[in-house]
Amino acid sequence: MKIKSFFDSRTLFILFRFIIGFTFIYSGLEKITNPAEFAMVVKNYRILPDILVNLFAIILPWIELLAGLAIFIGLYHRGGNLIILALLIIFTLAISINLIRGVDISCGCKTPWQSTDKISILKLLEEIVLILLCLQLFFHSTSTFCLEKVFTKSPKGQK
Amino acid sequence: MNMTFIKSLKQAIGISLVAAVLGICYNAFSENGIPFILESKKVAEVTASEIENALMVPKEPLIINPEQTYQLFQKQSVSIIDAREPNDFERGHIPGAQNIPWRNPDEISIPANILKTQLIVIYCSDPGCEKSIEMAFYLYENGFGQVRIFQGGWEEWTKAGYPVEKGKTNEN
Repeated sequence: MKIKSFFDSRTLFILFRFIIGFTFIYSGLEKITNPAEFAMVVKNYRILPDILVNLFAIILPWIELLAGLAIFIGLYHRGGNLIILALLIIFTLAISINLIRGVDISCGCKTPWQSTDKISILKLLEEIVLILLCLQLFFHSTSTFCLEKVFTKSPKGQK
Repeated sequence: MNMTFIKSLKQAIGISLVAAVLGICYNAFSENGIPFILESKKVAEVTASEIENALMVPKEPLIINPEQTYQLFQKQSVSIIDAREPNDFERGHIPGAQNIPWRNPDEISIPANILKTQLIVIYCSDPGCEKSIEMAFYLYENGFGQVRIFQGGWEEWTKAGYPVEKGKTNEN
């Protein structure tokens, strides 16, 4: 029952949208301004083949920015959320793999509230918390306080 | 639920495509743009006579193997640089090595005790790590003419059973 109220809560839906949206807009912009540095971070993870590293570093920040923006303003937010959820799962796996390998590398996932950019257990927990927030957005059924309500006509009686 | 998921998936694909186009266009026109394909530096392997260059003629960085590194390690005049992060350095490093973590050229400062005419050996974590190569070329471009890259790095040094030292960082 408590889980149901977690997913149904409109307040949490709005709050989490702003948190996730703002986090990824910030993260995307941070990487867009310095693609060479981000490419080095991606390379250090040693998961992608070299041939894909730069292309990934060029495109991913824009995906984060647009998906974050979509969630923040509530336009195509379900698609944006699906992207962010997939990215968070990939980041979590990548951080886990490198924590197991025991290498000390930059995470490449700077957030407004963090002081360090190193991969760590704390960073891993942060990713898991963000995944939980995304799951709430994913399973929440309304579009409260979303811009897309302005563009789509709802049937009578439906909020 | 299925319909919602398919709709979400279509939106996600749409957002990703728009982002890809924007990213590629921005990169093409941005001052900070990078090539689409990462260019790895090709480094030549050292020949026996080049392990130490007696004439000290500035030369592009060369790769050395664990035995050659050990040979140089035994000489007092050689500076060994550990390009890994301080945490890795503290867990273990080549005795006498100085920790100068390679992150990016803007953050690096080379201590005054490392001379441009001196023979320098740089290493990082393992053969796949390129920090040592990037740092070696950075040093070479900044006038350090005798740089050697121990590409096997810490992994091959410990595998060969050579001496190790643990302890705090001397990062500058």
